[in-house]
Amino acid sequence: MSGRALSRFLAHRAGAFSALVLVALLAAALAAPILAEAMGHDPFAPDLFKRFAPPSAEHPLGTDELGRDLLLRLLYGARVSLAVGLGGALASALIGLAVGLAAAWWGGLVDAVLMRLADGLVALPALPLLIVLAAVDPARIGLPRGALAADLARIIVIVALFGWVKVARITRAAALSILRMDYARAAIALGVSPARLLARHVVPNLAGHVAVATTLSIGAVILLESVLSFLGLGIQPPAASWGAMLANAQDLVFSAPMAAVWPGLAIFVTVVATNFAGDALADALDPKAEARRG
Amino acid sequence: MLRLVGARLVQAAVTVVLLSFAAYALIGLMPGDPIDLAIASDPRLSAADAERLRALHGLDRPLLERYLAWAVSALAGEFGFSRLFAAPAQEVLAAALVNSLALLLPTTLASAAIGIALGILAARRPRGAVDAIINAVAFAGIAMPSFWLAILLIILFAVVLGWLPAGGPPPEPTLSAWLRHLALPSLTLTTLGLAAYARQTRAAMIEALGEPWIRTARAKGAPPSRVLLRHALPNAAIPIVTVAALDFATLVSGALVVETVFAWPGMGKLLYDAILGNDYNVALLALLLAALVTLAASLAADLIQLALDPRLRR
Repeated sequence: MSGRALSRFLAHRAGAFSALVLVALLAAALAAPILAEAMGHDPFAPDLFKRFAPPSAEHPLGTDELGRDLLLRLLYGARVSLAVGLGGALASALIGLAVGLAAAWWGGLVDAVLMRLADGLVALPALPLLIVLAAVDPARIGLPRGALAADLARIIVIVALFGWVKVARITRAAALSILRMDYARAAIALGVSPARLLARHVVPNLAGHVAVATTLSIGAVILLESVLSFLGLGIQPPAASWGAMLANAQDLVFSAPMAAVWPGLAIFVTVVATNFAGDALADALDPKAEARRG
Repeated sequence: MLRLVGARLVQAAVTVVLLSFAAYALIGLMPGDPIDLAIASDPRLSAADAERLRALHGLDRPLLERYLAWAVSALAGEFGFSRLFAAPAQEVLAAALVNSLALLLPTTLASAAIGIALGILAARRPRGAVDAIINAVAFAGIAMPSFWLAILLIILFAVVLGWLPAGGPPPEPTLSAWLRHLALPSLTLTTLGLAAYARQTRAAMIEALGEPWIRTARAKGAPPSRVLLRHALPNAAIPIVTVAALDFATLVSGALVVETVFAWPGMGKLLYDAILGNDYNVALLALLLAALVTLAASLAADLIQLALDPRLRR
């Protein structure tokens, strides 16, 4: 990002603040094991003598229904949400980029088939299908089941299967217009290989659009992961995830209503922050935005 | 125009066929094969018995053959038997469909009415205080997980205030019981649903208000409310109606989570229960119905656009 782009990013105050929030959240999520050691709690070990402890110096947000520290569970949940959000958005972007470039470069039948496929995917009821996919037993298609890493990979794959359409459309449209530009035609006339043409001239010039769409999609992916985990089809216990924490909290609304507040707030803040950060990135990468803002 | 509709219908039919096959194949990959369950529940069942059972139910035949057999009977209106509810799948589904419509129709109307009104209010003075508040509300509706809002509403209205039930179907078929049990799920879906209407209406109204005929109307002395409602709104209606049709489709699949949280026995909860309970026939039928509704809604959006905008008819 150039200096001017950075100053445009910072001029979007909500976006700059959101980026700060996201970096802080990421740092806290990464530091969760260190923090757990420093506080002397194991966020996965039940302690039934300390169920529903109120907030205290020892447990800043209190404990959950099994006596585990709520703050640490939230931070471990952040690891899941951020991993799936970033991984899912990135995987979708890579597939979308490949599909979009293929459609724009070959055109004709390839273009028609890929874009009809995209239309068809968008027209399907996403959530019910995602639930069917998430309910598939990984052992039946020869994959390990149960481990957190396997769960994360499974959710990221499911998200990417449906998430690539937007980036593919953006990439295709941008690549088509770039390929008509003089510099691209000059490169073709000079006999540059297709791979080099796409890598050196096309992709760098559409990377900004793709980056904005990808950042904006992180929030949607985090929401999706939380829905799947809430329904019991995402990250499996004892691993912590915001959606699963809310599912437990729902059973306890009459005895411990506060348990439902924190994980939901965490999802909400993270999703809002990724949206603002995406908006700010769009401003930063688009020099015309400065003129528009006046 | 007829050609366009024809092409879209063909595309929708192809999508449904492909989806039904994909769903058929996927559902077979879910844990808890009925024969495995039978073996687990009856230790006297031998491996030979299991083989015989598989052959009896045709489970030993190739996937494509089984799918075609299912498709042929599905086309004849036979969707098999529900394992969970011990009734034909289509009967189970019909009951759930009625419950879903009772929830979704009022919700759609309310979120459209409130969302469009908020959007018009916000567009009256863009970047003003009202606009900022409405924008924040609309934005919150988009970033808020539906199940979180649902749980918060349960805590407020069922736990703290004790005014409304926390969920479940109405215990007796009276109107007041229905309304009491519909109130919270409907409030949740409306709050989240109006966000899309408000944002789209605001954007479309601001665009329409920038057109030259609006200046003309104002110059001729039309009162502001008339300019807003008679001159700008009809021109902003096209994108709004498109959102409405697409939003109904989102609602049909999105209601799954809210129906599950409130234990409302609609389509979404049925689909979820059927998938978790290995009720293959019901799950397949519910999934196909959801797909049909979604496809029909996007086709409707196109047709409405054609009907409203003469420029598209060429």
